[in-house]
Amino acid sequence: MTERIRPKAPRALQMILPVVLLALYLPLVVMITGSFKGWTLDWYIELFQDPTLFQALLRSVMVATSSATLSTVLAISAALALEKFVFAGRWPMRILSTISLMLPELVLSLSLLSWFSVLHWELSLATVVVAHITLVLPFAILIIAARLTSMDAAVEDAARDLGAGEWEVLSRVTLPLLKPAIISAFTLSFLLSFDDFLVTYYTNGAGNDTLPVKLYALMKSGLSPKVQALSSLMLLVSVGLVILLIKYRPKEGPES
Amino acid sequence: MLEIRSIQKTFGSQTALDAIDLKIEEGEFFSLLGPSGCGKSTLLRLLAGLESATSGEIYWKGQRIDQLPARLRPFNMVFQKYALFPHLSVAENVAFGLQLKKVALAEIRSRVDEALALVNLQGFEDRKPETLSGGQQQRVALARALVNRPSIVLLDEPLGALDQKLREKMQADLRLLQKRLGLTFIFVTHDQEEAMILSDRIAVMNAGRLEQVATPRELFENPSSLFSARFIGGRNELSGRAIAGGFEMAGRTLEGISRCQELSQRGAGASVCAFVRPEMLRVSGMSEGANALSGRIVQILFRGSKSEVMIETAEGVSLRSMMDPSEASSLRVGSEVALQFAPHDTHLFWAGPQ
Repeated sequence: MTERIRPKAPRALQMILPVVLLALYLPLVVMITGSFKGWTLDWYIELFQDPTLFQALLRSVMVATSSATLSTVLAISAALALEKFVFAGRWPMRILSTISLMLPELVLSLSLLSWFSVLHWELSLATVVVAHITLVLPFAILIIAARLTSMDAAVEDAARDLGAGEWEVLSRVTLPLLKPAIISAFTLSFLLSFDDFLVTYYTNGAGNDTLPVKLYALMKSGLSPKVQALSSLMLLVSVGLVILLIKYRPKEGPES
Repeated sequence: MLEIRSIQKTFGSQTALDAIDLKIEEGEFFSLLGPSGCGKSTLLRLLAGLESATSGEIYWKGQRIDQLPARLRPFNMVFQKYALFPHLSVAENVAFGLQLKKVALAEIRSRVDEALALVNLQGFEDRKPETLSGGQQQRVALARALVNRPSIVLLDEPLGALDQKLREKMQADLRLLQKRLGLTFIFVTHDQEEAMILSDRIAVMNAGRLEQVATPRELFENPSSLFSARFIGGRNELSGRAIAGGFEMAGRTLEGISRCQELSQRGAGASVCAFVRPEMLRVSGMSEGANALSGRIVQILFRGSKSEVMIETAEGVSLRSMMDPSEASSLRVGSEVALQFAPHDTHLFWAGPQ
């Protein structure tokens, strides 16, 4: 294809994107530079020598891994049910399963908190995991359901025709073909859970601070280079995961 | 023998198949032919067990099979867009059915090799389907079905996605393979030419019903309804009214026509269609004999082995005649000719409620 000459946008409009991008990324640059205050790595070293921070990191990883794993498994089952089977109440359930995306996080947190108190559940990391699952599940369902709808149903019919029972269709055809979506759903769930402050803050109880909550606590005593170093590290983890996801994402459809 | 007894299939309020009765012999190349939406693919899926009938029965070698799930039927299917497993290699695709049946590893390997050799795909074992051309994917799909040694191979428009050249080659290959292996093929297509070339017998389907089941030759020469006459081969149609033993149109009559399907109970005066194949329509000089209409040559198209002569009758009807180019060379555009409707080549069909 030869390149088509496209009309140029007015100069004023051309300026909008660079300005927006600058507004987005400049604060990050300021933060990262701040974390090297005095041009040393001392702030990072201090971070790693702080045992409470390390514990918080450990909690964050645990919570994110558990909620990502559980919500991915739940999302696979839910998406299969919603897309593959015809049952009464399928449409309302499909809508309900994604509408919670639009719930304000604060409302979600408060409702969970009151629900836990109704159930007499002691707040702990377990309640955080439960809360995070409710938070990330709709995203995971959306990702997996989207892949399922775009999948050619004839492939599953071919497996049946060749002698596969329903479980074999699932394990030999459907799940392998869903693999890219499963990986995406897991990674996104992990990131959402790992980064979450608000829901965690309301549902974790005393002494169970995750990294974002810890960061908030630290910040209350002033915006130190140490806080900025911690923020920079969290940014690195998130961006790193996203880059990994994009780079090693199997091609749509056939995996390679 | 495969026997289909009064199969009915409805989707909600829509009837996809209506009282289908059909017997298919072993070793037959049998085609289900019809326009899209006529139910031919639904019938194939019913045979495969991917769809269940609303009522009716299917027997294979005297045993009822319509309640068996797909995996327990001795049939395998070649899907319309091949439906290969994109995450498996060619060899793994072909081995899929054998693995599920827990066939020994060594036997799987030899049978996969054999099946790939059958479709000329040796050396492609480790390729992924996405790296193959349409024709190659089609052959993998065929090998994947054949490797299971099915009693019947069900083919759902398997050549539909191929270009014309490749399609013609695959048609010849398919027919050869079927005869060589002595397998029963049930072949769904909307392409009448393809069905004619390949089939031992064809079932013409229309709106969920069987219109006619016959050999290609029988269908061509002796269509039982206007639908199957129109669907297969070329056509010339005149509309008029039935008279005793013939046809009348604007004061002209064609007489002695014995091929009057579905007309006997309707009697004289019914609105009918006189139908004659372009190959059977004789064009001669001016001598206007019995059963002839006069017309003027509008165009002569040279089609290689045949010439197509297009004529407009005095009544304003466009007709076509296919003839040898040598015969056509004596005709001139614009000249007046007589069109002979030989009684044994002309069919009368009821034109339906108007």
